[in-house]
Amino acid sequence: MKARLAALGLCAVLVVASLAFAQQGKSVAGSRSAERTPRNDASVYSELAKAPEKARLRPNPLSQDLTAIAAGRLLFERHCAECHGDSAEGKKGPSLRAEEVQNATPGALFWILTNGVVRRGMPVWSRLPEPQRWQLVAYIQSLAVKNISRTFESRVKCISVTQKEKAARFRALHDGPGVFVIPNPWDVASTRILAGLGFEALATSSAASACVLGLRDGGLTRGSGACARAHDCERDGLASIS
Amino acid sequence: MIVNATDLPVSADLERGFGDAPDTVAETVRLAADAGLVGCTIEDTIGNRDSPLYDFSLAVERIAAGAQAARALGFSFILTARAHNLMYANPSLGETVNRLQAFERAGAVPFAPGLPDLDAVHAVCSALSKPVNFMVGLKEKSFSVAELAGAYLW
Repeated sequence: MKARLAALGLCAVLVVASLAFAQQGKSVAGSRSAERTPRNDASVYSELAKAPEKARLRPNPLSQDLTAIAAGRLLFERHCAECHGDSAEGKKGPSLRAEEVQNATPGALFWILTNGVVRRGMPVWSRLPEPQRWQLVAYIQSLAVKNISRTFESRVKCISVTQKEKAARFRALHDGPGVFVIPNPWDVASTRILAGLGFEALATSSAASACVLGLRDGGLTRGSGACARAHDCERDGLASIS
Repeated sequence: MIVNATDLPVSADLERGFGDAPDTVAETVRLAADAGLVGCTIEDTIGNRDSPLYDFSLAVERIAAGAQAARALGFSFILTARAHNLMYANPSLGETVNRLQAFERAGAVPFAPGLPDLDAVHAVCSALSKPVNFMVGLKEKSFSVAELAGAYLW
């Protein structure tokens, strides 16, 4: 539940950031006679349309790789932040949070990275290995609010198994021969990691669940059933699990 | 969020079921199922230092109420009942076994954290017919999967 709140907080921050950018764009439009730097010159985005169709339609091969966004962020900080700003909000180079960039295909962004726009100051990044360029694309496209929510949703709603099927599997583990090991996750990330390691079932630990909420073991409360669904009860033991 | 992040079955440690009364435990089991869980543990600790455990009959009634709620769910929800007396002063393996046998008869999977050695693991497994949970992590009371499997098969 905390993660949900954190994600909402993140969305709120991004909304604020993009509104600030929109306002900034407006004031720039109102003083067009002022200097035209790449940052405020909307025509810079027309470069994206120059990608050949074949390049534009290339899908990001790392779109299912959950680590690509994090890796891309590190690459961005190392190579791109100097011109595009620490949060990609635009500096010497254009904002990458702009609609034009966020609505571009992954292939078009990859093509720009690969070929650069040298006359406008965008270097050619073909010396970066292809997977790293795709990681950058994944990071850049994770910046928009709509993309964050889509990514978040696709991560959270990946369930392909019903509760009944889970129950039957859990029963079969108990009825089967030998020993099974049931490790304790404490959040979404640890859940994914343990599942990825090949465990067949998971169990929460009340001590770990309490610690995640900054409480001592025994500090969780059940809350009401409504509370378990409404996400507004910080100390709700069931809400933190479901 | 854990349940919704995985295709794996998840069981939750729900401590004493968030209340003393058997009906409260039953309600907790129903809410656990609503939350997407396919199992949970309920323990016999009160959370009171001077009198840490529910007395035998109330402890068993609480588990029986939880197990009945679990059976009424319409799918196989596994209630695991934890006897915690080994975690407190003057632990008695005999009392642990008595409680676990009663929990098992009430329809729960038995679990006693804090079994001191592999002999105790063997004694508990021999006294019960359902699969037994063992908690790894307690200092000097943790054993390998192979050791535990061996103790079960003695």
